[in-house]
Amino acid sequence: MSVSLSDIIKSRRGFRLTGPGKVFFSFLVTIIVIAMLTGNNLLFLVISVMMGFMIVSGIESERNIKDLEVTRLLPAEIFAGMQSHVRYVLKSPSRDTKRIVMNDLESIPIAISKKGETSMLKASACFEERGRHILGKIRIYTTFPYGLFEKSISFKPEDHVIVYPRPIPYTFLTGVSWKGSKGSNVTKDMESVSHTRPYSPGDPFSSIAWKKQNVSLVTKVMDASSGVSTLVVLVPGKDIETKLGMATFLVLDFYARGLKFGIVVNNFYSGMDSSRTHKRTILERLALVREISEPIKVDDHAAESLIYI
Amino acid sequence: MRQKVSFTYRHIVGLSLLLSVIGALSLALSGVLPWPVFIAISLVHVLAMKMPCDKDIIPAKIVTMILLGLIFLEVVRVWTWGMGEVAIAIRDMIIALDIARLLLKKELREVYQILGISFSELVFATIFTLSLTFTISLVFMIFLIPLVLYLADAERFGFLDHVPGPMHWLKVGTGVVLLTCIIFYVIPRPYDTILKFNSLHRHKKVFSEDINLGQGTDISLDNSIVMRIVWHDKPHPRAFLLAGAHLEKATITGFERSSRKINTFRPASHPMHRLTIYPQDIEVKNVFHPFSLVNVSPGDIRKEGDDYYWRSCMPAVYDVWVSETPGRSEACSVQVPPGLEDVAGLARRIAPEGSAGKRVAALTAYLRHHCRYSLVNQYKPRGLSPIKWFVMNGGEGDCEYFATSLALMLRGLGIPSRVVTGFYVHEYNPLGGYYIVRASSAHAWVEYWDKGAWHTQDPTPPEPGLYRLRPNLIDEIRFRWIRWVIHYSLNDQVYFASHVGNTIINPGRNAIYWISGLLLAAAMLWLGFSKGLRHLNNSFYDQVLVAFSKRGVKLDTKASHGEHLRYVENNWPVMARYFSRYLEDYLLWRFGKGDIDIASITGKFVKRIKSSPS
Repeated sequence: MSVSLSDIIKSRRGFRLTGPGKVFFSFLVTIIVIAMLTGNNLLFLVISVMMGFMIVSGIESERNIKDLEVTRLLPAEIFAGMQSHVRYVLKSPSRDTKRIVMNDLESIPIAISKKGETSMLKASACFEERGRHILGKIRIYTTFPYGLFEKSISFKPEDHVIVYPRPIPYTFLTGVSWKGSKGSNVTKDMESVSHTRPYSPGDPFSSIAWKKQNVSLVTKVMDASSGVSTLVVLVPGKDIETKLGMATFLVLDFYARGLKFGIVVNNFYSGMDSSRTHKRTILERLALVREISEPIKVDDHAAESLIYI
Repeated sequence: MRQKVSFTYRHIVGLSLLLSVIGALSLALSGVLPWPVFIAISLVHVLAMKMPCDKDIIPAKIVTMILLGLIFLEVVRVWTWGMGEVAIAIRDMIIALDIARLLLKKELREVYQILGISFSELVFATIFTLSLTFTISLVFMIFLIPLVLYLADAERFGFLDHVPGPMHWLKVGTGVVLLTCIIFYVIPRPYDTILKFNSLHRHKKVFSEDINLGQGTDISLDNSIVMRIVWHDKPHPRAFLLAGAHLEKATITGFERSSRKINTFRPASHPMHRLTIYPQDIEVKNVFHPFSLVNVSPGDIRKEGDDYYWRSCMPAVYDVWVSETPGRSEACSVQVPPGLEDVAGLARRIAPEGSAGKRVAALTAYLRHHCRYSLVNQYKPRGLSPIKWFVMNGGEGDCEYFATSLALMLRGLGIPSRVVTGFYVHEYNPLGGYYIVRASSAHAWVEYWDKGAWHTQDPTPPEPGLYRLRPNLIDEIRFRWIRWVIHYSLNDQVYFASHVGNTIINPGRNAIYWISGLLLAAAMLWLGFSKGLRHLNNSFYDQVLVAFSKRGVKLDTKASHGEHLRYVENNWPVMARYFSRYLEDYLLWRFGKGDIDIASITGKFVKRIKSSPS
């Protein structure tokens, strides 16, 4: 990477006057006008003091945010409509940095970042829609040291984040049809409970139960495909988001149980696997689906059961 | 020193109130505020400091009503007594606002307001003062305002811990002072200044041009400085007579200015000496000059007989060019007022014949022998002319007695003569290279007409040890303040600019200093700029990317470290091993281990990239 002229010209810095700063500059301009009209050298002296003070303030402010390093650590999986926690690593290698505000997904005030120490910061974010999102520059601003102006520095990491569909718990009420493994039309009992998991908002009311031991709400997970590898096939329908949400739910569920799983959506077939990479590939594909058309014909012997959504 | 100081909100309020006192101090130092009033205001501040910050001491409505009432009274005052009262009205309003702020609750917003009012007081004071003592309040503000603003900003942020210690504030204050000095001399000045026209209304010393021995005066005992004079040519004289007014009309009690016709002043050519005169607190209209006047700058003057007067106020600084050739205007009258014929007769008896010079010398010797020089105990018998008493009875008197007596005696001999009033300049400060003129140096002497020109004669007996070559450091500092701050002007800026330009073109013996200075400036600029570039690169890792780029391995800045490594493995396998090791160190440093010397590791790796074969 070379430093281009545009990089040099295009300042990463921002500057804005605060309320007291506006008063200060109004004073300065007024005194300059009076001094120029009268030629009173003591007024010129006062102007010089004010300008000297501004320069010192600028130097101190610059030293405060200079050499700051910020790295944004995105969570591995981000689901639409759910709170995600983005972490930031902030480091000031040269000197203590005081009274800065980091502005990205939310504004985080940082009173002091000690020289050489790494600060871990956390911000909550909720992406309402699935798909690709671009996170802008991280902006750090400060009114340090005298509160007359706000100086900011922007950091470049323009991260692309893929927001997965919001998981929607899968139930038989949604009209999902089951096929037996290897093409046989065996319908399994949807009501048998495999295990329970902690309740998460959005779980269907019919699946929620009260666990006395832990004194908390739990959600029943139906044993639809216990011990079998499953291929989820998305077929055209009206509510794409619900279908994608259910598929996401199933993928997460299968992965959590260590089962092999795969997906067919449009002309994409993921193959059958139980790895994390496989799961993320599928979720990424689901996140980027624009419409659902007729799925391609897949003849995979590894899938013991098929779920059509 | 990394000492940290703990502060609370009360400290912020306390410091802002201290600044408020300093604002009032600046008014007092500039003479706008009487000292007793300043002490009273300070006491109010002390009381306010003990009051709670979070509630009004007096309800805000009442304070507002009082303020409105005061504004009304000030308007009435200006309306009644004229625009001359505007400044005093503004002063009163600022002080009223200052006090009102103390009576109301003092939250952060009010702290800023108190700062603003204090600073307004300082700015207002600048209009009324030329004094060096004004800088006392300015320096206090330079050191205190940053601290209060820092604390206010910290309070707004909700983090009043980790406030730097005194050394930090000393550095900040020193930095502001240094920058102030640079900026002050660089800011362009307007061509005309208020100081050139001296429109400041201040208490000044008034000197009467005329001599009336019937009235006593104590001005000669006043040792305060009324003028400073820089003699530009070398060598400068030990002492000289600085003329103000030429008095040609003799009266029974002294001499007065004759009402001659007013002429336009026409500058002559070939001046001999240039003097710059810095009057201080003196209220006269005379253009002071030694010998005979050739030119004046600024030239806004008129000529009245052999006297020169400013058309408007005396400027705060002016230049005169003078010639030692005697003036050749025209002879004056030889009239002796009735009642003083005895004095004229005495002169004829003392110097009955001889040249004018010899007769003047004889009369001077007589006066010095028979009369005594004294500033006090001057006896003036009732019903007798003081001049007659002085000459005939061998009385005591000051320079005015001697000068008027000699002038009248010369007139008795038929020699046109006149009395000149001005100053006897005899105190030279070698530290600053200028003459000090005090009120006590006011003097009177005689000019007589002989051979078509005016000649000077001082009949007053010389005072032993009067010539003073006295180093005066305090006054030199004061004069430097006046010269280089108060009177610093566009002319000085042009002079410095041309001097710098000439020195660059013809470096001469200063070349070594200029070259050193330029090299130093270049080094500082380079350091700053190279730091800036490094800063644009943002991190050590970017230096590595730049180095790779220069060797033809273009790494995508948006790609991950792993992708960078794979790319290097594919395109520059030899370097991949070192890059992998570097990445380990870099990531360790970046995400936790601050003690790794990443700067030197990066430096070494960049060197390796540069030196390794492709």
